[in-house]
Amino acid sequence: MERIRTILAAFFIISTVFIAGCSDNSGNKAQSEQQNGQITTNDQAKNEKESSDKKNIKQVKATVYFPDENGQKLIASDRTLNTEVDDKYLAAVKVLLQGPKKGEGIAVIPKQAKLLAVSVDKNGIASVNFDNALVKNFSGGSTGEIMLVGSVTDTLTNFPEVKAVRFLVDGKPLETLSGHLDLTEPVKRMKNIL
Amino acid sequence: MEFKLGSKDSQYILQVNPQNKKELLLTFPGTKIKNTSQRPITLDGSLAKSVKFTNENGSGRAVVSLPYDADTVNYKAYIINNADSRRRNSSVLAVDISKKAAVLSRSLQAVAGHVIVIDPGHGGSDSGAVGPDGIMEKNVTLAVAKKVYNILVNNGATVIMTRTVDKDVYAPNASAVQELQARVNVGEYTKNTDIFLSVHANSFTSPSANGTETYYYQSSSQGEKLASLIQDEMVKSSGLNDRGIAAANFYVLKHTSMPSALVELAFISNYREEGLLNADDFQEMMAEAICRAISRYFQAD
Repeated sequence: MERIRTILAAFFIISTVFIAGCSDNSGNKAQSEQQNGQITTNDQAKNEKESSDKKNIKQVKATVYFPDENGQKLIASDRTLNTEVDDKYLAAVKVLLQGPKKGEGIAVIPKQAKLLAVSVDKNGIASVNFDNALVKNFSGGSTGEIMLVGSVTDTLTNFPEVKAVRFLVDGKPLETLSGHLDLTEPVKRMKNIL
Repeated sequence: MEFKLGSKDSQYILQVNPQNKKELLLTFPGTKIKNTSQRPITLDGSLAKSVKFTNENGSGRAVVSLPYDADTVNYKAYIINNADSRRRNSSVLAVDISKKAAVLSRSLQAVAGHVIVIDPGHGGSDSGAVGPDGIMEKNVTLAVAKKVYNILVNNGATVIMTRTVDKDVYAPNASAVQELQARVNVGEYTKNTDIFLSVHANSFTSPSANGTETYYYQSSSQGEKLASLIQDEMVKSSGLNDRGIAAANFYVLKHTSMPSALVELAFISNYREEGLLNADDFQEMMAEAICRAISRYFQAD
């Protein structure tokens, strides 16, 4: 058992370094690593390995959801969240604000909206706090509301410990986005749009 | 129906035949119809049965036979200007016949005696969604709701509107809950409300999103039935993309104690559907569809 765990831990560190290498924008290094089909042991990689050892694991795999073009379903996409600065909840919602990659659906949170905080309490209720630009720039409609609320709620409730999501604007509870969904109570996972 | 005329300046009179209420007479004083020997033109019978041509007392005449009394429909005749310069001297006379609500009464009789609350979505300080051409949801919802009101009242229902003009139901710039609860209260405080129906136009980030959808509250089987009938009638009439019915945690559905539904007629954020939503005949068609569905709901009750 101990041995398996050691191997798993070693594998995890290696894959962490590899991902870090691939996401590095200074292309050359990533390219040479991939050409060899394995991770090189140049100094930079060594440094990264050491630093990620020290800071423990800074990347978390997660599923995020963006609406499809016609606003009928959410499309699930896998992401590796960088949790060096943000926790995984904040990082996951930030991915939604950044918008989808090609083929992952469309962006639904207004570009102007700022995400102020995401927290999860001991009862598994996540609180997502945006600034007022969320409401001001939201273009309305039942479908728009369901897709925006669903995208955030289903992304966060995909973490098993999160049971429901409360929406806040400038720290105050949001009652409704544009007059359709009742947001006065935490929103449970919206399964019918998955 | 359209009639090709040899002269641009033809005079015409459209009237109900005083001797036969089921005929419309289109008379051209002083104009002869060339070929009166041809057989009457048979039409599909939904709005008109046939057209035959005669010449009487020096005037040409087209006789349109109807399957019902002419006073139960709207009819009008008008010249369509011919843009084709090669046929400068010819023009086209159009005769439009459309059913009045009264013609539908047989399919609407089950609404009589029922109490129906209609909620035109948004209003006043809340424009609702705004289309690419600037059409506001609050005006579309009110126009359709008023048409629904007229049809239902003409067929013996008691109808209460949450608003009849462009205003907030609670107060301008009130909180969302105050505004939505005020609409719910109209349903709750009206005696014996049978159903609550909220009328909306949809909107989405992507301008290609389109179609009709109806929502109900998850735990209400009667609400689901109502939503399903409304969706069915609307899609049958409009031919728009059928997005189906869906349960949704909408404020006005959740907080009304009677069966309720919220219709999203079409997408105001979609350029084509925005045009439809703003058109009187589309609004009338959707209103009639909603009313037929309400009648079916009470019939099956």
